[in-house]
Amino acid sequence: MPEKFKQFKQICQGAKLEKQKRKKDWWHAVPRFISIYITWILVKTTITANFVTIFGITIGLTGLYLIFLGNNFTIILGFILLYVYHVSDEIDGEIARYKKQTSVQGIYYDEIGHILIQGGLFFLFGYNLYIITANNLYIILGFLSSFFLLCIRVVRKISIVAISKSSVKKIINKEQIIPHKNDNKKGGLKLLKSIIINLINGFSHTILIITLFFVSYILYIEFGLIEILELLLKIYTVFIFTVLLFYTVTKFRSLEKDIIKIYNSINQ
Amino acid sequence: MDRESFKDFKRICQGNKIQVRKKEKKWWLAPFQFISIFITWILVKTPISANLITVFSIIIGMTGLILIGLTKSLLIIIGFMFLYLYYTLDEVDGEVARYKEITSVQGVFYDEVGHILFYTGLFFTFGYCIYNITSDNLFLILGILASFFLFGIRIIRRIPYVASSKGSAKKVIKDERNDVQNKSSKNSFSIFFIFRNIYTAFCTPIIITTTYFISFLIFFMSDNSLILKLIMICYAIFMFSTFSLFILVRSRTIEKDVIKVYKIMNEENI
Repeated sequence: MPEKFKQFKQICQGAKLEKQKRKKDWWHAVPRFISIYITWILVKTTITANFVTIFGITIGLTGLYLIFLGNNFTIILGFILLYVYHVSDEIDGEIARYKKQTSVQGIYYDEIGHILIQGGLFFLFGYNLYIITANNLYIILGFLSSFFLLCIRVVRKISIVAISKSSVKKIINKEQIIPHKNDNKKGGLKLLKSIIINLINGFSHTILIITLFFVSYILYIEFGLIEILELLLKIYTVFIFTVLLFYTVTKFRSLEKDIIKIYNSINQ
Repeated sequence: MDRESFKDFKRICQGNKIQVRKKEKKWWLAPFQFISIFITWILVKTPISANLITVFSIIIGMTGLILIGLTKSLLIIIGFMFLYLYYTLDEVDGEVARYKEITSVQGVFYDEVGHILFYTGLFFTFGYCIYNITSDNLFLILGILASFFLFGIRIIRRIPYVASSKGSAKKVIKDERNDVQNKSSKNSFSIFFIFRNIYTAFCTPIIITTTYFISFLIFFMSDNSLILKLIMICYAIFMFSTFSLFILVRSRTIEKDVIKVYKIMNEENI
């Protein structure tokens, strides 16, 4: 059984775990640790990957709605459902890989889920704070954070849109002339840079955002500490805005390289 | 001005765009493309680059939104003028790039960033302005929601691009080759087409801006904010229904869209 399970894990998560190790996406570790056991059960049923994706989105949206209701009990339940959404976000891919059901519809549903959850998350936190404090500022901060978070998503994918619009031939030819420059940085500086980027990616991922707000909500419910929630939303608005600026500059500079990468992956 | 050479110039700058506009019946772009070509005619004689125009247009657009947000009659009108200038310059940059043959991925990047900022700022600014007039939080929230839905529609439109860059797309493209090519196309003037065309038009920033501009003018003349409130409520509901409809429609056409994007990538780039 353990040997069989190892093989099963390799099929379902192999590529993802490799990527996780390579890119140090530690925030995915917990959902992936749980998801594989649920996938192990679900692959024995007739449930499809796309069904799990749609079910996951429904769970996530229900979670957002429960947080929107603003009662202590519904807020906690809402956060738990958001965690379930993140686990289901892993399960659908694992089922698809195991059953060889990967499809463009799957990618579509997945993207829709991310847009809805990312778009709604901060806005709801801001709205809740506005209900508690009667301060309009939090609606605006919630909106801005949600908007910046979605923008990061769009900016990260501009290269994909650009590849279909512009003359890539020119860039690919240029790439053959220009030697790779990135490898001459000193070890220490490179390590520091990768740690910073890793932390930026981690703290702008919805799992960590949910966790931080969940802890803050519990502190508010238990001890009435609203200041922590207020501070967290303010800090996150500034943080996400900074990340957006960072990504805009970085992606602009690496646009040609990204296009070549995508071009090669399409034509492989 | 030499009439023949201007015609050639127009064909170089707008040829492809006009064809697309005619095919897709994007009538709302016509006034801006009509004006833009004259500005382009002047600008191509200067060393001004297409990217500089794009950046300048983003600044103009953002300034327009800020002016509207300040909620003073004169500033609102000037703000709307800036928005129309932004739409015109949004055409000019592409025309200059095509004429000077300086189309670049950086240009696409600036263009996308500009659209992102503008698309989201539009309803939010209108909502904020109406909130300032009526002191009712509802309009601030409606503005935010409408902005989200408009931005969401834009992101959903981009999903086929994202999907086509992933492995699963290859399978779809293979399947397509086995399929019968080009199923019968629908009559371009069916009721469905007209409905879809009007629906699409009311989701474009140009028509949204014009609708609000007229509403603001009525408000200035009658001093009654009812029309503004009504438009904000209607647009928030409209954007929500469009966003929901869009999710459903795109889920049904995703394979076709991915194939289309894949073909564009391979025809233009390879």
